[in-house]
Amino acid sequence: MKIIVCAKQIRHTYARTGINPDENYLAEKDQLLAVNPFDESALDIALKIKKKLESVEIIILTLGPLLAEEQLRRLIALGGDQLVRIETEVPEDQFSSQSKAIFLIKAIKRLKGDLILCGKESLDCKSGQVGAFLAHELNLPFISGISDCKIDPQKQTAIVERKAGTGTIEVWNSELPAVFSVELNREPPGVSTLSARQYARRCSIETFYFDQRSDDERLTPFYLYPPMPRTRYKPAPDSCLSSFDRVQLLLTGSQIQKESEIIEGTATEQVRKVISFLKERKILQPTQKEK
Amino acid sequence: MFVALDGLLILITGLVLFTAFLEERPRWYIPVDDKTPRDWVGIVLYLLFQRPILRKTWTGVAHLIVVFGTFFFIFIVVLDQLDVLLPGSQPIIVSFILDILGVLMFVSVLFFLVKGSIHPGVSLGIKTLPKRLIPLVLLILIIITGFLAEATRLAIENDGFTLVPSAPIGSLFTIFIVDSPLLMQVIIRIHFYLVLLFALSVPFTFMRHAVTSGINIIHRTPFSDSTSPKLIMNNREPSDSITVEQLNWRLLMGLDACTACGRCTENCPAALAGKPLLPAILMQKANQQMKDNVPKRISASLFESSIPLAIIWSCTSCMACIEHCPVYARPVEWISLMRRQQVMAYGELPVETRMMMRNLEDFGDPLGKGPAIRSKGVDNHWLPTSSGKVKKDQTLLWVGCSGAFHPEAQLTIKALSVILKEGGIDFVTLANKELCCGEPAKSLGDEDLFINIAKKNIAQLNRGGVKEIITHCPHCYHLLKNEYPELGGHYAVRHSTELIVELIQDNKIELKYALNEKQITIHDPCYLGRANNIYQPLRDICKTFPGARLTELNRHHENAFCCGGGGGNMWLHDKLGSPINQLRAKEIDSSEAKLAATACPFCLTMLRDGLSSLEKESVPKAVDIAVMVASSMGFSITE
Repeated sequence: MKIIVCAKQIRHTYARTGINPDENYLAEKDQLLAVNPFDESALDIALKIKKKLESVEIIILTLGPLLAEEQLRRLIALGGDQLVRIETEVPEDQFSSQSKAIFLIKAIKRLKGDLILCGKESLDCKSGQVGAFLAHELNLPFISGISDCKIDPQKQTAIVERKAGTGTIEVWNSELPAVFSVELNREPPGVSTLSARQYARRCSIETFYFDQRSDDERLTPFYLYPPMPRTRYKPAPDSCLSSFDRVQLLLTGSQIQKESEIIEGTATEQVRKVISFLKERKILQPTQKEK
Repeated sequence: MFVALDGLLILITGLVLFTAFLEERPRWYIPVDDKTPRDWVGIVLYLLFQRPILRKTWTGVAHLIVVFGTFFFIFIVVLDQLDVLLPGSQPIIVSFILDILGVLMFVSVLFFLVKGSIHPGVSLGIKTLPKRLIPLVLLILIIITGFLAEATRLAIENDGFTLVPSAPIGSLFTIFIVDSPLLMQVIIRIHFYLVLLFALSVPFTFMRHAVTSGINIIHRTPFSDSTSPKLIMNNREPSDSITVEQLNWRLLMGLDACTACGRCTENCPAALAGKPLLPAILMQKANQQMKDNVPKRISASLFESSIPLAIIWSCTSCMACIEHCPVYARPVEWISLMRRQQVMAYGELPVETRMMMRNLEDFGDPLGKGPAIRSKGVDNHWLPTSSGKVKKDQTLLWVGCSGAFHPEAQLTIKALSVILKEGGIDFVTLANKELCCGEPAKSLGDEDLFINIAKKNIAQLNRGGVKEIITHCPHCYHLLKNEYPELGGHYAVRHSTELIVELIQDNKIELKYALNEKQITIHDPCYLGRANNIYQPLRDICKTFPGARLTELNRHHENAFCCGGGGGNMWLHDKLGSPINQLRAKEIDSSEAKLAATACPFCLTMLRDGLSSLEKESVPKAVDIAVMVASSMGFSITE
């Protein structure tokens, strides 16, 4: 039995210590390369199946340039058997969920997996679409956000548990092959043995080359709304915001400007100033005489 | 007197002894390498003064008497048999000494016999108790028959009961002895056969320590010199675990040298806190496993079958067992090997530490905060910035994970930076380029991770041209000083207390102001004291505070009690027994002191927790020595 675990390499942002607003206040050291923790949970489920059944092969599939090699190799050390990487000519930032799925499907068809597991979503994009696209394109049953999976090797079925909110646990029966996306588990991370680590360090990463992107014609992106421009508040220095909120606003690109003016002088002068202020803003229309 | 049969019997005994120890050879087959020190002078001095044994006065004196007595009797008897001294013509003084020595030996052996039968091992599960008592009973019988033999000789010489001044005790026995040469011959035979029997018991009972402990003492090394085998990395064949071939000769010898005297158990914090770890029993069980497995070269299941995991994970690696072992055996090293075996060969790491280990792997620190937050001290301008390069005259301040992240230890670093600036020392930090030194990984058995982290650190340090390192954390200090050289990092490492003492002595800093509390006591960190023998700087500093009165705790210097945070116990859950830090906190509380000075972030945290858990209105305060120095210099150290 072949289980394919799709693993996404992400840049995990854990801090925001930069000073440049153009870079969203991110410094280089604020990020570290990691494998999407949802995908690690998917591997955990695959490892559980491997423990119970004989002759289970776990293939870890990743897409794009090799960023988090150490972390991917750790998945091998934890119990994966093979690491496959898909190389494409499409730049990394031009991948849509759909095109990612299409590249993955090409590899999955070549590898002939019986069970495809992937994370429910990724920690960076949070789109949660790839699993659904995979199932759609492969025409396989799909269950999202599963927390446990048991395989019946005779009937070639999988019994899957998923949390359906408010403490309800759904149990599904699914035929194999199937695509499941996995919810993040809170179990402590596994520890690999020395021999497994040494194997993982040595093992070669198989690379599949796919050039052309051939999107599914049934589903086409129709229109893309650009993101709403970020609202820029201009809190005055004497606004009632707390210092924390003010700093937060500043960090999101707001500016503090002094917009108020204190009117001083005698009563007549003050009235005149107010009238001229209102006239400047064209709130009061100038009279015929003044014209 | 000496007949051919005796010679034959002696020959047979010698042969049996020889073959018995030869059979042990497979266990010690790993040859002694040239680097193993051989301290011949040391063993002679050890036998003459027996200082490590004399730490427990009565046992030490009894042991001294038995050893000296045995050697003296053998010496005199051999001289006798070689006709240098004729029987009957012994000088009166020698005869008198022998008589008194015999009595003293009798009392000593009786002491051991009583102590042996109420030995802690009885309740702690050593099942070989009768076997332990055999040589002692034989010794008692030998002494009694010796006196009887002397009495028969005196009876023949003096015709019945007379008190002879040269042999006051021996002549007492003549009360019930008839003057018969036959009886004398019979008793002398019995005495002789008992001696042979005793000699035969040596390789098969705990008396083997007479040989094995001696060998171990000859080849002893200082604490900081680890004897555990190095992890073999990047070899072609995946090595699952520590194989028998990797086991060090000295490690095996140390197992064999252990006589289960129980001094390690008496001083082990885990044992005293009621945890399942009993080092003496562990050594005995490990020795049994070795006896079964090593000749067959079975590498798997070296330890697991008889040693439960709860024992292995209870150790705080405080090295009290090593310090108190009279024969220089090293239970801590065996425990760390067993931990390593568990993690490296079976992937069995306690669940509560796994997240910490993963953080160590990903973020480079056990807290999972990451390099961006590590440089907080630099970003806040209370630590000098650095690009990772160190100039010629500059010193590197190794901040460490606790110094970078823990609020208490951050104060220490702040204080230390103030002291160094005042003392005119040009120093830099590695800021976010520093990683954890790898102590948590090493102490919890993940040697592979430790080596990876250490190599990264060494590469960074070497790239920056670092020559001298100052650190405030004894755990970092120990690893940087004693473990990094083997991986290629050679630096002059100094602990901050050593440096502060130097600055005070050179009048570069002045402790002008008295502390709020005058009564100070000192908690010696294990990794500073026992591991690296740094006791005095802490005391020197404390004496310099104006008006300060230093009181020592009950257990101090080599006997200092662990705070309970070492050996990865900072991250392990304290499920069994009572918390170790509370025991130490009670000890500090019972002293007069109001301030407990220490120099270790682990100790600081553990003691603070322990002292506050006493739930008293006023308890002594645990403070880091650097903070005390800075406030005595007139700086207020706040967050």
